[in-house]
Amino acid sequence: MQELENIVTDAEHAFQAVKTLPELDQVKARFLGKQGVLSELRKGLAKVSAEERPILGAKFNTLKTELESLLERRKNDIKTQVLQERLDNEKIDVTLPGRKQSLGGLHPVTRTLNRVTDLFSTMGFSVESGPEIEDDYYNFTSLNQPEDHPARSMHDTFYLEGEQHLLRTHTSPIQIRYMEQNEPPIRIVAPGRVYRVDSDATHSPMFHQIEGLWIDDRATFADLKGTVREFLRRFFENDDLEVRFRPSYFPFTEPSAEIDMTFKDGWLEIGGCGMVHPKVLRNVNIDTERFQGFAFGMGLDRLAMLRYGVTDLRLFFENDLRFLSQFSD
Amino acid sequence: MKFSENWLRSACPTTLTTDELSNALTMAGLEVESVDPVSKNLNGVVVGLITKTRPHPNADKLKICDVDVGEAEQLQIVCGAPNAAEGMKVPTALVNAQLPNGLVIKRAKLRGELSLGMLCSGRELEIADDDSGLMSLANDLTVGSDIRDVFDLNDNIFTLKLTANRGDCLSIMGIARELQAISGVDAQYPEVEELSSIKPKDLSVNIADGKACPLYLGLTMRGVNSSVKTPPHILRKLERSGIRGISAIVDLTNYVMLELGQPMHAFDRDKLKGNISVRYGRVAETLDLLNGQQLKISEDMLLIADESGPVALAGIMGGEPTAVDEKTTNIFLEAAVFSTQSVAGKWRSLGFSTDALHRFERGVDPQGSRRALWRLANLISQICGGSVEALTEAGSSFVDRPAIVFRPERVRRLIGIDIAVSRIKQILERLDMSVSSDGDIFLVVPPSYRFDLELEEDLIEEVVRIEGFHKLPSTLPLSEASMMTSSERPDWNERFKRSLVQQGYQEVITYSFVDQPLEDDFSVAPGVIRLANPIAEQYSVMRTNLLGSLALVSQRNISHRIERVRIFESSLCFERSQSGEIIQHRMIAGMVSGSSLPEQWGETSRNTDFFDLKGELENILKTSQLTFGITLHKSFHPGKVVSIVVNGAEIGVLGELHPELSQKYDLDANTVAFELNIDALPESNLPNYMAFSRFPAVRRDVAFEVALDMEVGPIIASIAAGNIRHLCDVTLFDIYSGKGVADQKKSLALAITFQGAEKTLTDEEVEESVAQVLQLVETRFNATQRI
Repeated sequence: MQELENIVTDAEHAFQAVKTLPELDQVKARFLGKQGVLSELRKGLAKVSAEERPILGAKFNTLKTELESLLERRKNDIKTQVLQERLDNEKIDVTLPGRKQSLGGLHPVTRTLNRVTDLFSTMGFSVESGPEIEDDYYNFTSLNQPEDHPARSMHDTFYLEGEQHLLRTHTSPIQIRYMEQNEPPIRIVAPGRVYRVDSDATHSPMFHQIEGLWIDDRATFADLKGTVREFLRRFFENDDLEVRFRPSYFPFTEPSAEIDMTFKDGWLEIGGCGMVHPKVLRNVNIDTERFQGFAFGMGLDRLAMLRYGVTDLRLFFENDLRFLSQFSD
Repeated sequence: MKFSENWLRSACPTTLTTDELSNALTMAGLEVESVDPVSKNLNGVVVGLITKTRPHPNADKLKICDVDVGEAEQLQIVCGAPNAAEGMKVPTALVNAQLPNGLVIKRAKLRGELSLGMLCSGRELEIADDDSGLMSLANDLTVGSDIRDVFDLNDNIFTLKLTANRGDCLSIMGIARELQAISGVDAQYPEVEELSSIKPKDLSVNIADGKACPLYLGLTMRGVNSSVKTPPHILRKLERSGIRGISAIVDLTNYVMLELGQPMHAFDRDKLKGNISVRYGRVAETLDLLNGQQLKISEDMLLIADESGPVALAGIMGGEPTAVDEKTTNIFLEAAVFSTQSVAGKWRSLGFSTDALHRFERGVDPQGSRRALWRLANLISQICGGSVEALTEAGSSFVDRPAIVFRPERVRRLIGIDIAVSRIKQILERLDMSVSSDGDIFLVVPPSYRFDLELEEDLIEEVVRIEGFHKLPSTLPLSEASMMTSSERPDWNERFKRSLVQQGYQEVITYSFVDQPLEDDFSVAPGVIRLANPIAEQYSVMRTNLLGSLALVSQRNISHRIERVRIFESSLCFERSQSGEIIQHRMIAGMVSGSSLPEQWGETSRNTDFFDLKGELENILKTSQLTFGITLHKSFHPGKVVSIVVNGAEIGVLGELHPELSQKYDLDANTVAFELNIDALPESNLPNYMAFSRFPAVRRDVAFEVALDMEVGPIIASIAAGNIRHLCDVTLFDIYSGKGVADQKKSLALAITFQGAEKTLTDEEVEESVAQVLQLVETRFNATQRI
């Protein structure tokens, strides 16, 4: 019986001695294979007496179970070890920078435009656009801008050579075009490029406006105040922002107001607004006894400057990538 | 409009503080741009009388003066001014006085002599320009009185930024009337006396166009002393309105214009020849204007003429030959009204504007002309003497103001708040409107000077403006909840922008007007649109394409040593069609130079090329039936350019910039670009489910040789369209020529995928299909299979 115990010790040593699964398989054959130690023992069993056979048989079985479990344990150990080695070998320098394409980005004015139109669309405004070369009717006459209005002078408006067309000086012609085609209720915002003969540190001959128009049977000046204030507070994410409406004059609204908002220690003019002038509504065949509404306009470049702390309007049109790349996200 | 606050307060004695006044005007629609004190930091300077002067013992140029400043003791002051003399009244800065430049006067010893103050020049006090010596004060001033009071320095200059509709506020009385409505304090017009005359008028006035000149009043005054000095208080008011003093008669004319808003003109009566007519210019007439300019008269210019020719440009400027000078004793005063239309925009052709033109452009009240003329005559007669002749009058001061129907309930409907009917009436009346009730409605007649009031809405604005916009609530509009329409099909412009940004492109925004030479390099449009009044020659043409602008942006950034430039722009472009029509369509264009990826470890650097851009466009336009066509474009390398074709129409171009242009604009030699007309892209289709095979696909790699110069696109296209059984996909994964490939040949390696619709394909079926492919390329493209 001493022999049996030696077998266990031998096997244990033999299993420990190998480092890989194929080697383990070979060693396994020595003990548990067809020509292995156990097979030899089993053959010996046939030769013992009938009385001893059950006892020896039981011992044999115990031995077999023990060897098998030794083998299994070793197998697992080796697997774990092999995996560990592989993982160790596969280690990378995770501190190296990632592989990438460079970041692109939208222009800050486009970024602002998207934000503004997104905000207004949550209130049910749809986004409209229109031509930038306009005629006198859509840019001026339809908007109750009489022939001798100062804004119509050559000083402000770009005219085309040899004809009556001009570059739109504001986005308001889009309102007219939309109202010609649609019945109230109307809720639109119209962003876009506009042009004025003006070029200095705070004026660019081309800039961006967004115009809003709301026409139905009940919209009031108080609603206009509320809508503009709501927008500015949401846009600047500042519920404490104060908005002031100051009487002013635009040919296409009556009453008209300038929109001022709190900025640093004072007020900053941010746009113009008013109740749509009855003559404008009549020009597009809207019954002014039934319908009324408001319009407002703001400079998108101005909003972008305030939002991102840009101090010089001209930066927007210089297109220096060192400037523009600050707005990618 | 600039004016003295004190002047306004004398016309409407409100108790508002300066800040309150400024805020009240601004919030009533008369925006106060600035409030500037007339004199800052001037304190402790009084009227002093030099009673005695003696030489300074230690300095030749200094004098020791005894100065009476109204105190018990006279002050000893050392002074270096050459004109210091006994009996002279001078501004005297006491010890601790502060001068405008910040200097504080201290008790001092000058060369050993005590000096208890400082005698001042006008320059030192910043109330006159003279610094040659002490400022000599009028003898009647009381010794000891504060200089601030003497020169009315406790005053502020208000600058208003008036809107174009409020020409009626271009005068002190106009603003005072507004203040009356705001504050409830009555405005006080100056008292005016219509002087009687025994002498009949000696000339007549004829108006050729009653629309252009509805009213002309003229008054001759004789025996006027033109060399009298303008009283200081009048000069000060003029200066505080930004008008320099010229001579008493001119100053008084300006003064009344500022006071009452009526521009007027004074002619030297003796230089006028015969009767006056208001008429249009005639060919070959000229007029020497007061500003020294000789004007060639045109036939659309409204003139004041005497029998010898033009004497003034109506409503704009008088002529030099008939101007008042120091020797003038007889004058002819004109107070006329010229219509807005007669002067509108005239400054443009003239190249200058005047205070008169500015007012007539915005409208002058014909019912105020008579008062203004007599006010001027009264002042001249008080200050310069003289007597009047009878008034010459042509035209009429009648202003047709039909009553406006005003329904008080419309205020609530339009504004969203109730204002008491009595309050509405009060506001309208304080604005000088006549209000009569007719049942629930008012009939309102606005004053003659308010040219801007015509509709009910105009009156509502007046009411709300005076009530205060800030008193209105801010509410959010109520509306029926409805959903907005929303298209699931991509907005191509948005899709392009999003994809390009993800590919590392930066959006730029450039001017829509460009330089003609830039257009010459990049435009293929039939005709351009030019601006009549560009800000500069380099911005004189509306661009037909975006490529030129992108080239300029690339150039600028490359000059800043930025090595990778990936930019795009989306905007309208403009061209004239062959038939002359204006065409505006939305274009998008991109331009790329430099490596395809930013420099980094683990990626070999290579330049972005034609195929990078082509792949990007193929991805973005996946759903649009996009194809590319062979083309030539003057701005692109002739061997590296394709047209972008959608539904058979060329809508854009893609390629490498022509080497000549890359060089000309200092760009990278391998600059690639694309441009297309977004408006021409078709609406894309929604995803539409089609049954797909669930059986495994089989891939076979096939390689064959074709002629080296053969185009590969058609080969792949014809396999894809070749009715190959079970064909599912063809992908080109290698092109090779050189060792192992026959001379003048190239090898193409294709991965071809097959898939059965109903079952897993057998090897035999796959081989059959591969054979079909090979046969197709052999017969159509003369290909030989590589084994």
